[in-house]
Amino acid sequence: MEFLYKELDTASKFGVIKKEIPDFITNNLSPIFEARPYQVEAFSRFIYYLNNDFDSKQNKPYQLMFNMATGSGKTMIMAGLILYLYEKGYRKFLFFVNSTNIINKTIDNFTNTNSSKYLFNHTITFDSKRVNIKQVDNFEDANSNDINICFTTIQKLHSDIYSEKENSLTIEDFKEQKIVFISDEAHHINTQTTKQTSNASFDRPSWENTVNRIFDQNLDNILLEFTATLDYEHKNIVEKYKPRVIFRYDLRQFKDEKYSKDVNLLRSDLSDNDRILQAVILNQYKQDIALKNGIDLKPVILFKAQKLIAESLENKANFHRIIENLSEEQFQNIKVHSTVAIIQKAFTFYSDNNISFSQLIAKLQRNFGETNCISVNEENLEKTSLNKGDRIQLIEQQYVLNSLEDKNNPIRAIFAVNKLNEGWDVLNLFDIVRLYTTRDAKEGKPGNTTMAEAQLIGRGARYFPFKINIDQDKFKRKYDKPNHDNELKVIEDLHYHTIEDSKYISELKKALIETGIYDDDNEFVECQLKIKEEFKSTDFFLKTVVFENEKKVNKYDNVKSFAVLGVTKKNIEFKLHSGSGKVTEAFETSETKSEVSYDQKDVKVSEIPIHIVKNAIAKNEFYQFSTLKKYFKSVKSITDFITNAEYLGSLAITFKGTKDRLTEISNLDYLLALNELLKAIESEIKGNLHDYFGTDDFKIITLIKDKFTDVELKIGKNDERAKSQSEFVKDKVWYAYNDNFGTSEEKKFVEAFARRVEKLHDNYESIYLIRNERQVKVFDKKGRRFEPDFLLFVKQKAKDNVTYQMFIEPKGAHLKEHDKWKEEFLLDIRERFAEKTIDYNSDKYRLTGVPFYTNKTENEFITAFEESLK
Amino acid sequence: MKVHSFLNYNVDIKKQDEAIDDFKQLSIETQKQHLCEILNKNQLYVNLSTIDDEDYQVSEEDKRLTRDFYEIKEEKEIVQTKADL
Repeated sequence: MEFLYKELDTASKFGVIKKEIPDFITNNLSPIFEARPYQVEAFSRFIYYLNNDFDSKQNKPYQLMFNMATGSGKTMIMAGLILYLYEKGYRKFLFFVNSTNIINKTIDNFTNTNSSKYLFNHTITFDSKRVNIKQVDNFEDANSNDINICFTTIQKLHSDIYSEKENSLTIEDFKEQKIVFISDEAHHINTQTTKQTSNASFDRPSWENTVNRIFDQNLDNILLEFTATLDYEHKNIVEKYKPRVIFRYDLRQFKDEKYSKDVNLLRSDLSDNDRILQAVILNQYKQDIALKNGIDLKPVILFKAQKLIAESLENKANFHRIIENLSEEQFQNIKVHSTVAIIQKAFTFYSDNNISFSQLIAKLQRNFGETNCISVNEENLEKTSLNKGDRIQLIEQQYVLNSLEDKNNPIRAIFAVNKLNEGWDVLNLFDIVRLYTTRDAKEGKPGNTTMAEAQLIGRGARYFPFKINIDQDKFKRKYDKPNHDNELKVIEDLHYHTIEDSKYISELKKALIETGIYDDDNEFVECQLKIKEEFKSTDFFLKTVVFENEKKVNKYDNVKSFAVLGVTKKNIEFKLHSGSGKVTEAFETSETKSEVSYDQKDVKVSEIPIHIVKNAIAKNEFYQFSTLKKYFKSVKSITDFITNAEYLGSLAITFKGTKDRLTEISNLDYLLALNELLKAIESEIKGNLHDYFGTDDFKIITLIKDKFTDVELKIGKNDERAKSQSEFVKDKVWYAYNDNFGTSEEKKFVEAFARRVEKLHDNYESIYLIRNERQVKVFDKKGRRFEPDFLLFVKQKAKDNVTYQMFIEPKGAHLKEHDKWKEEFLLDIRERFAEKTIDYNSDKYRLTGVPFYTNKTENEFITAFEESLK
Repeated sequence: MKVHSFLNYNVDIKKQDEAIDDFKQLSIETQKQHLCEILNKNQLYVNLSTIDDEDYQVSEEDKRLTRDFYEIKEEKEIVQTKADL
């Protein structure tokens, strides 16, 4: 049998799983949260799993594992799943994890509405009813309308179950009620599974046992497990989790999709003190670069001791000595001796900005003073021998370490051994300095210490979100080399400072590659994409221009009616039962009439007594006047919104029912029907709201020679894109670059085009196909960014000598559905410019697009292609 | 009152109008009580979100005072960036 996640990978690829998050999840999660594609995937899979039957599905109760990298937003997935299961009728949620640290942090994220990391929207509503998050100690206190969450540690859960106490969970709590179990850092509860060699006894109480025992109390229970580390090498684990891992998104994917920092190993042959200073300079440089670009950033350095707290304390004392006694000679010394490019860059930056060494020293002394440094107490909160003072200090320290990004947190440097493990999510850690030199590899395999270091780096590599253009994705790396050369790259980097020891470095690299956060440079090939010399010398290259449009913030200024926003006028149907009014959810008026005995009657909203409409509006939070005003600037009042034909005024409800019922529609009928109508309109409006939009005009005009320059690409060795196509394109005059590092579909397109190009020469001259390596970007109506793979330029020989700029996107058949909007956008461009040309410098241009090129449907493409050049 | 008050949804305006003569026969106390009954008690005050609704004719002065009182500022993102501002 395959792993469940692999089966679902396949199902997902073939479009069996619908990639959608229900509105009630999106709307009730924190508005700051924007679902990333892999998060949509996780939700979709879970929804699919619950609602479909298939061979490999487990028997109830379901136990599902989300194996997702640190920083990939596991808690957000938990919050979303809680909302989904609430809608499915679950009210009781039990969250458990192995450590108290994580509990406190999680409680804060789930229940503290003032926390910057609060997961939910400020109000949670289901069917316009408000729902609260309630933290409970046991499920007797549970409220049947709320989301009741009991947070506990696995240890506490275990002892509660085995020794019953007042006000704590008992096994009785788990009988006869369905509960959702959420297990964070779930690998910790696999104690039994990993140890179990043969048929060892399951009777002895253990954590895993406890969980299993309570979980089995009810068949409708669901156990959701989350972890970043699942041991796929362990036989028992593999056996247990094969049918259970619903989604696997590991650190490698996370990094490859640019959601992490880029890890850099900075090795230098300096004295310890100079190495420390070098790290401090680099860290400060990062802050100054951020500041220069208007980004509020306080980068943090971690100084790591090998084993003992005493060493760590000594490191801290030494650090203060270094900072207090900084001298200009020291800086001069590093400047002369450091061969590290980024350090030299920092020095250049400071001298360019006229910041002298003495000013820099003052700055470092200010920023790295004693009050801005913290030494981490490595004691464990769970330890019972801990005295009260230490406990308080530990809790305070945890608070400081978990809020490093906050504005009023002054910490710049942390001294620790290895306490900073699970649950420490920090975004602004930018440098780690290793203050020891030992290696512990055996037979070429990285030892435990090195493995632990690699894992620490993996955790520290969480991306610090920022953007400086509106078309950038705040949460992704934007300046990867070699395709970019931007000073901001440095605040996308995590530097790991070590001494130059090639053996250690190669061991560490091995360990890092294993975790997935790092790629050896040898894994990549650098590919050169150059404009052919003969193309460079053409007039066409020098004088023709490229048109792009822009992305802008949507201020909803011009929205004067539902229609402008794209809300299609939709009447709804409402069925009047002979008894009380009951709601059906058929929105389409065109639906075939199955029940012939019913009559129907249309009632306009404007014909319904206005006080009923007002009541309906007051019941639905979305229709608060301030919200309406935001999207519909022209609305004067609620009354106006109701009566104005541009808004609710012209909408109608089709009532269906017996003749008797239709002659006497009650106020309650109206109210219920209006509730439905408002809900339908609400989701229509929400579906059409976009924070950004692409402009209709293509006003960004650049000469081809400036737009299409030589490009250097870094491509994985085994990637199909690394395969050169230069042999094929080198003698094709119409192909502008010397090569094509595209997917196989993109290469096939070039070959297909080669077969058609002869025919084009009949009517056109200056035919050039240009590979677009992200140079040209366009934005659709919703502001989504699209970089078509190719641009084709052709110039009419006759008529008006119009130059066509055509956007072309080859697409594998399995991706077509997912990227449908791009195809629609391509056709939209074609339609928009079908009848017009753009005049520029006495030349005429016309923009156009074609549907996706797919190898399988090449003939259809050719027909469409010819259509586009008409 | 028909125009400016927020009535309960189950009030039948037509029947109210038809009964206007009967209504006038009642004592002023009973009249008051009746009118109170048909109001939606959840909507006795103007919601903050409704402050700009022209029906209520809230004065600029009152709006300013309210905003100061609740210290309403523009919402800010947690991680501020230049482009967001």
